[in-house]
Amino acid sequence: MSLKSKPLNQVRELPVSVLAEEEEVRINFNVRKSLRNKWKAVALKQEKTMTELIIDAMKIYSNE
Amino acid sequence: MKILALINEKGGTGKSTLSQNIAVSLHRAGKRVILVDADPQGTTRDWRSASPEDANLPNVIALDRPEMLASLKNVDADIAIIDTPAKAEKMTASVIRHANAALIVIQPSGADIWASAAAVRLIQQKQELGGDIKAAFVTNRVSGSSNLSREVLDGEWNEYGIEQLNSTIGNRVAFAQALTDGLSIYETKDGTGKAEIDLLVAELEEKLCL
Repeated sequence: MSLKSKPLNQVRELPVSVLAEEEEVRINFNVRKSLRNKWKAVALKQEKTMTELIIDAMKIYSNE
Repeated sequence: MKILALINEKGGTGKSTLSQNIAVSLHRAGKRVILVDADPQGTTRDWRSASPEDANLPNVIALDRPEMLASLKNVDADIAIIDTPAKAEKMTASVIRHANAALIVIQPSGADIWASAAAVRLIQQKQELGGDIKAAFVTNRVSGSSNLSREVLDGEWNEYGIEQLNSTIGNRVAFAQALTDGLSIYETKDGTGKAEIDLLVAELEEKLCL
């Protein structure tokens, strides 16, 4: 019996979405320490990271 | 910078050994090469740690998170060779996303060929999404006398539309010895092994545009 390659439709689910992910960039900006602490407190309350909180807020602000 | 990824989700196909020797060949040819160890097993890091201090080898960096791949473009080099882990889907998919070229490493074995289907699928998916990546198979640890080697080399099994390179790497102890000593095939007396890597690199430069 001859050697055959595996049909691609028999390959299990792969993380193909990674291939289409847009490249990320880093944003740095300065804010007052008290404002940062306020954001941190809100993030903790909502069980989010600061990054998630700011991204979510900006999505609302920009109607995304 | 060009990025060449050596892939196959099956372990033990020779991805690390070939990554090291291809990187050394390009380094010796005057290219600025960075060898990226994306395998948590760290074989390529261990290889470099075992190297003599005065060895003429490319630098190795460790990359343990897929998110770090984007920063590779900031490295001052002509070529990055990425040694990928076995069975690490997100890392392999991320490497394929960033790579210009992929070399799928197989041995003359059904297990290696079947396991390569996952890499083929990711490469084809990237191409379908409009991504630019060239790919090829290379057969490692070929034993000229075995029927299975002949069957794999004749390429009848390959229905993926991805070329199988003419260059092959033989089943040579010198590769394992060089790796253990922290060196490459070029520091051994195995002239045939050196010639095999030379031919492979020439074919990679021609067909994968390194």
